[in-house]
Amino acid sequence: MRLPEVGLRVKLFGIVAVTLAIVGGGLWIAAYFYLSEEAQTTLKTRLDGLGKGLAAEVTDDVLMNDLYAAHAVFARVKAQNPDLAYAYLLDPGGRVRVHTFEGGFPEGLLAYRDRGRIWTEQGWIHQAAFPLLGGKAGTLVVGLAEAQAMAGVRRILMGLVLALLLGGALAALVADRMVRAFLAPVEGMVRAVEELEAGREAEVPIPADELGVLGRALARYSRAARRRARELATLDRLGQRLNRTLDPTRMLEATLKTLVETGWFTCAEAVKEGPEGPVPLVRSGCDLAPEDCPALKSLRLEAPPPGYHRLAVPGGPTLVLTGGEASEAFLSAVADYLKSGLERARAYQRLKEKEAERRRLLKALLTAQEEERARIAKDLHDQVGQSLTALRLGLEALIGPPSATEGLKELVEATLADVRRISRELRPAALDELGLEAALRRMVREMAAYGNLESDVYVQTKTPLAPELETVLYRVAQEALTNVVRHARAGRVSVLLKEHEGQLQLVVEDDGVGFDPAHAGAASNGLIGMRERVELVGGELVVESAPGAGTAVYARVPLPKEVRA
Amino acid sequence: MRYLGLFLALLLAACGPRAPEVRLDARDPGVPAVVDSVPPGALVVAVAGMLSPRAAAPYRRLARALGKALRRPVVVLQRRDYAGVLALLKDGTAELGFLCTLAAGKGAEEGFLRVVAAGLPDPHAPYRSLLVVRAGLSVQRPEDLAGRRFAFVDPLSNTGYAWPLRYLHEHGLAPERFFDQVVFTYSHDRALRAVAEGFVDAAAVDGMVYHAVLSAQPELKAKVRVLWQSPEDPPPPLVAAQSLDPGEEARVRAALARLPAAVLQPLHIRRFAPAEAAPYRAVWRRFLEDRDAAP
Repeated sequence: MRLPEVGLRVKLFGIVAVTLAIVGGGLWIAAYFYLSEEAQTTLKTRLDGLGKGLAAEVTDDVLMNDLYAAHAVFARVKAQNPDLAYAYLLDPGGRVRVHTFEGGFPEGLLAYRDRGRIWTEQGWIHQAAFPLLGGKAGTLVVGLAEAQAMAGVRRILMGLVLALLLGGALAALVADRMVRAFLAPVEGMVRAVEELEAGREAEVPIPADELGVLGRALARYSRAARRRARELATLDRLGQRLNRTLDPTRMLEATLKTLVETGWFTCAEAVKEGPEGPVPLVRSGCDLAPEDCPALKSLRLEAPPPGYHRLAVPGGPTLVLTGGEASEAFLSAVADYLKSGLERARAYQRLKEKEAERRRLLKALLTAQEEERARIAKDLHDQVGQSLTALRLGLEALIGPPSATEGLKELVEATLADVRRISRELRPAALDELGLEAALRRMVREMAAYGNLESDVYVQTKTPLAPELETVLYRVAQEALTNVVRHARAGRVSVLLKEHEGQLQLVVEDDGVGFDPAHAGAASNGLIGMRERVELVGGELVVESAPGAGTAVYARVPLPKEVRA
Repeated sequence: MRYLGLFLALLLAACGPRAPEVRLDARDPGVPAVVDSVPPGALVVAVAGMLSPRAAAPYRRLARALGKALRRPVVVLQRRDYAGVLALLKDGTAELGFLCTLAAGKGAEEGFLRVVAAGLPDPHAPYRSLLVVRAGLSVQRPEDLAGRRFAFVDPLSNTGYAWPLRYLHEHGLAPERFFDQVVFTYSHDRALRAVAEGFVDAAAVDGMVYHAVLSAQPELKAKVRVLWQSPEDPPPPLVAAQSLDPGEEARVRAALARLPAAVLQPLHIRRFAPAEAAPYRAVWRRFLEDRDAAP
């Protein structure tokens, strides 16, 4: 059975109440039966004495046939014994001769003359018959009312109840005092634990009695909890510091600094096993020079000297800690933190190297692509263009008046224009010859014309740019304009190139149908290409667009430092 | 489970023997507090306290035998003292009475009763006063009883009061000063027992009763001794109220003559013989003279 969740005082009161109820109730019931039995016995004894005395007293009167004298005796005895319910005398023939009732004899009474106990409207009556001279002179019947004897019993039982209640109240009072005395040290301990919980300093009181076990346990626990809290705070700080850097050396420094700052150790150093013995890497809080440090000297030994902790970080350096004590679990956690930090740093390093490799390869690819385009453009311009020009001149010389060959000439003209445009698109010679601004203006003009758009170009640069950077910006603008012509169904396009706070900013903006950048679809290949080129030179590309709201492509690339200066 | 126990207890209580229930206030007024009725035509016989009520059974048997002989129901009345019995005869409550000689003399002298017959005693137990002392008491004469405790029977008793007074007077002694303490026992058998039990040192009793008691209780013989005896007197008579019809009185006499000896023997009466009032009146007068002549 589970006790309801009530206080210790209530429980103790309950114990007192239940004990009192059981003991008191048992006592009361026993007293009730015992006293009732006793009262009945007393009543029977009294009835016997009274009846025998009365019988002896009236026998002579009965023998003398002086029944008035017998009646006088009855009256006197009745007056002397208030609980005498009645007495009556029967002659040997069983007829009533004398009785104590006024105004006649109860009708049903005679039928029960042999019963020991009868119930009447006055309550229980004990009855007994006493023969006079063995019945020859008649029989006396005497009845005693139980009520008075039982009233005495009831008074005693009531007194007992009162005494029990009084005793119960006293017991409750004593129990209350006992609980208070019992709980006082517990409350002191609880207060101390609450203080500790709130992070304040507190001493757990240790009672001198059996609760001392609890007090000592709490004190031990509070010390352990404080230590654990300190360990957690240290690990938290260490974690934060390790997260702020990806440099293994700085991680080592952060770890040693944290261990010294939080007071675990006065001196902490990280060493690396070298062929000549331990090589100090980083130190924190140490007064002695590394060559004087006994830990470093003894590191070669299996066990470090007393007071020195040797903490090996798997796959990393060894930490040598002095001037303090810390649990194995804590040090192992520190080592784990450092180990995972170092692993993270190594992973980052590897990632960075791979990224650089990728960029280098991409750059080489793009350069090769540009060179190939330039060669094809030059070939188209120089060889196919020359050939077509010669073909046109030949056709002009061959034909006099315009005739059917006029069509061939126009075809040659158109083909020549296409070859020149393709040649420019592949590698605008203007970029190499005239520079970015002129090439950009020429491309916008041609593209706008081709796409039947209105356009404007704003270029504001002071700094000469590296050819590589010019090619990136030119190609980004070219791709953006191609998208405008192909997809945007725009009426107007504007291109802006300017220097701003050490960066070059290229903006291509149209008033077309726009699109949702999150669902770029087929256009995303072009966007990815643009982003690749921009990021290759350390810049970033942002596309702002929404269906029906036009599109703006922003490309920001940093100006090289030496150029900026 | 616990309810089952309770249920069984209730069931037992319900099935157990029920206590008889009586209403004490439902009374039958036909039964008065004292039912003292005398059956119609009954012969009412008063018995004086020659014997205590418990010892007077022979007198009651005698009265019943008399009633049987007369073919009348009998009611026997007794009173504590002889005066009470005389009152029953005087007011006519009783028709017949067994009286002591002195009381009979008083009644005859005062004229409210007639002497019908006398019960003649057995020769070995004559009617006389016996002065009885405790067996161990070292006295030789009644005068030696000075400063002792003494039991009289009744102020109207001949053998139990008149004779010891007479003796003391004749010897110039006043009983109230002679004895340390005197008591009245109102019956001869009780006076005898008072001596035997050491309650008193001496007592005066009827010779007939003395023998009757000793023959009924032989163990008393060793405890008492007769110190002195008086001359014989007329034996205790059967008297009739003055109102009794003379014809009935004659029938009573006849019936007395027919009584079986077994009824008379316990009283040490040989037989009943017709008697006159005169000797009894003489005893009364003698008593009055003695009283007046008391020192």
